[in-house]
Amino acid sequence: MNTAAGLYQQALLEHHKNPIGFHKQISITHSASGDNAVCGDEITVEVNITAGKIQELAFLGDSCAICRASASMMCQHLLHQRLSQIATIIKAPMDLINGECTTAVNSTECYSSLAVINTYPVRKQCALLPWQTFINAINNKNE
Amino acid sequence: MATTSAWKHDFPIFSANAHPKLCYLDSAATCLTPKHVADAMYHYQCYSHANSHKGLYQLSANATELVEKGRNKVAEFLNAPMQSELVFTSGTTESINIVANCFVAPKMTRDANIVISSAEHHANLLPWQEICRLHDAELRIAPLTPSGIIDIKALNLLLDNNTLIVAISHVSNVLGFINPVAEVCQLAQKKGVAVLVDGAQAVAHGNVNVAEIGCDFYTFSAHKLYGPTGCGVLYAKGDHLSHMPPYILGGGIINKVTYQETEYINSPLKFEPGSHNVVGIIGLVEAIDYLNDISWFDITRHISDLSMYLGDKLASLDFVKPLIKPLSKHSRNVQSLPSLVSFQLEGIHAHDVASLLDSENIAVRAGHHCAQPLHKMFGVHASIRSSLGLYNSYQDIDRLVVALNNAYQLFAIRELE
Repeated sequence: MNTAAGLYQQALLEHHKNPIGFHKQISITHSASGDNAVCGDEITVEVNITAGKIQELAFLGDSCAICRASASMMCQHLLHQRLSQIATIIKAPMDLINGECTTAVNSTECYSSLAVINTYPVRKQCALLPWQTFINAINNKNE
Repeated sequence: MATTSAWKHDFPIFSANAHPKLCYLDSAATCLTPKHVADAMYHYQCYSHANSHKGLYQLSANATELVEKGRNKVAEFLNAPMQSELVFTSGTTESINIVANCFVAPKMTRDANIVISSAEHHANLLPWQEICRLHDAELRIAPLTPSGIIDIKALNLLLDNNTLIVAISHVSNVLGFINPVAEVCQLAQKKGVAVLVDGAQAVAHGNVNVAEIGCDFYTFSAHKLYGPTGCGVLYAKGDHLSHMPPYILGGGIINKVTYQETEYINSPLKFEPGSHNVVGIIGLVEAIDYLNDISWFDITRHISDLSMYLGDKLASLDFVKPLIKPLSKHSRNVQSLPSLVSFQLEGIHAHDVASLLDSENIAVRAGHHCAQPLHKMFGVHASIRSSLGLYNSYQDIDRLVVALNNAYQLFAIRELE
């Protein structure tokens, strides 16, 4: 049986407790909202893209610890990344959550506490939601 | 005080080779299946199965008889008057869609309106919302009283000469309180308005009496009554069905067909196209027999005792925040005690609570329970729902309380670190 301790690892709970980018005020150039229709997670991802780079990243919304921790890791690791490399960069954590080990181990180390989620199928969508919403955001320039 | 349920051993899911430690508190989503029901379905499927209503051979005639006897059994269960009809459907959702599309939609105009309550399951919201949208008509939402039942006075003000139907739940799947559906029917009848009652969450309480309620339509699903999924019922008063066109077209619903036109039969079979879900109907009938054998008096007493215990235990946890403030002990009516409670845990999202409970083998529902607008009305996105069944015991509630404490402690202690 899966245990609570297995899912709610310390590293993940740290992000939940002190989320990076949560309700951070930024100069938004791109944003999108997403929800998990099954359970009610709601998240808005806000991005500042300037000169081809993720200059600022923030999120807000009412979501579970898994979704919030995943969003926090996203805000931590995507900052200052080049837009042209984003597709490659976000493949690692999304593969990890989905349990698809197609990416090099060193590119997933910083997301290791997300790895356990693929053994909890009903929670995968919670962890994926911030990343999917981020993809929608960068394709969705604010007027 | 017995710590285990006298009927738990009827449910094979708790057997040693299945899930002996399962604490199942999600009967509002679906009831677990007693061995009697599973055996009856297995026996029919293995030894008696045939296509009902079509074959001329004995096996088929026997299957037809089982379905028609089942119809009588369900009519008896609902206390349906002689001048009424029952349709077997795939569940409450289909039953409501039949009424929306075949009884109400043909009468829709731009001036028409439909009234529902703010506590409806999406199954009793979306069909009405859609036909109102298609006809540019108005969907009116009756509010709730502070105690979580439909506000009769406010509902009365919403009814007018253009109201085509009132569609309300007998028991809300989120709040669990019993709505005064007979009063609603009286009010509506005075204004010539039809009433549909969604009985999905009420049938497990027993004592449903559609004749006393006076509704035009009553719907429920077998799996909320310890029967199988994929089988449900639509009760229709008087000759409503004969004035309704069929919903899904296909075999077994016609008197005569040419390449140009079709003459439909005038009976409940008009709404049962294709092959009947005979095994599902067998399961429903067996579930009703099983519950009747236990006696509804004993079932009601068992669930009421547990409901009171659950309410008291949750009230003792100051970090549990129910969507609706529970009634005080003095104003409780045993008949109206909810067999489900929806709540939040202070500082912990409902999904996380459900995961933590799952890790202790406790099954509860977390989310909006297919009632998103109701949750928004309460200013929340999700809640935890704990609902009771025959197999539950005080021990299950004690396990829930311990697990809720553990969940709260896990998050709360870490907050202090």
